[in-house]
Amino acid sequence: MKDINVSELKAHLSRYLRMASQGIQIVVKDRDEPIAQIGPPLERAVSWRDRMAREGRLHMGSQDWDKLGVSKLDKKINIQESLDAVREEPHEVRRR
Amino acid sequence: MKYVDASAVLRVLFSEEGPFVPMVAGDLLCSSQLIEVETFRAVDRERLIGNLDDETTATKRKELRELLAMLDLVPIDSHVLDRAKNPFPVNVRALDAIHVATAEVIAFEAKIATLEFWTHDNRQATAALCRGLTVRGV
Repeated sequence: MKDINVSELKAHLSRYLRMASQGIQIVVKDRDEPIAQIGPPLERAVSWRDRMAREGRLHMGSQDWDKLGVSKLDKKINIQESLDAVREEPHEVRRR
Repeated sequence: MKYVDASAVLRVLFSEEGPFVPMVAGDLLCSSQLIEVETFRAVDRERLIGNLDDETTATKRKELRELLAMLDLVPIDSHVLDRAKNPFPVNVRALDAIHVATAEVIAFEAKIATLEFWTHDNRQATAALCRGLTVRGV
């Protein structure tokens, strides 16, 4: 479920139609008042995500990627080394 | 729909150079719940070896919590374990097999022929490739 205002819908119509086609319900608001809802066709309204979530087989995320905020790091981190250490033997941590 | 493993999330979190998974409004991203353990362990590891100070660690843990809350996460249930136990044509680490199996479950349930599997880990990529997934990021 995602709330947007009319101007946001006008500006990014194709983006919200894509979200709706993937099963996300879009509630369109006019001055904070819900006036419409966009979602997949009725026969697909219960999406695979809804079904899996209902069955306890999926925890639905917000998928709010426009709100993603990540700060910059001063230091470079080697992801491969980091993951190898936590997936296999954390040698350097054990030595400490 | 894109599947992300821990390396794909950590590259975004740590702003590592290289190709990274697009995270734009309208995209659906998913992973295994396993990723929660892997990524928080990786942040801890970087703190323990001195790459992150206390303040940065706290910031990164907060950002990671927020990022993971945006993903659809699939628990390691019997559907996943059954697929993870199936033979792979190459030697595969147990955790890599769980990621691949989870991606397969999602592709099956969502009826997606080509689910993008995002990883920057070569061994994970090999495990996904050998089961026919479309690998991105390596």
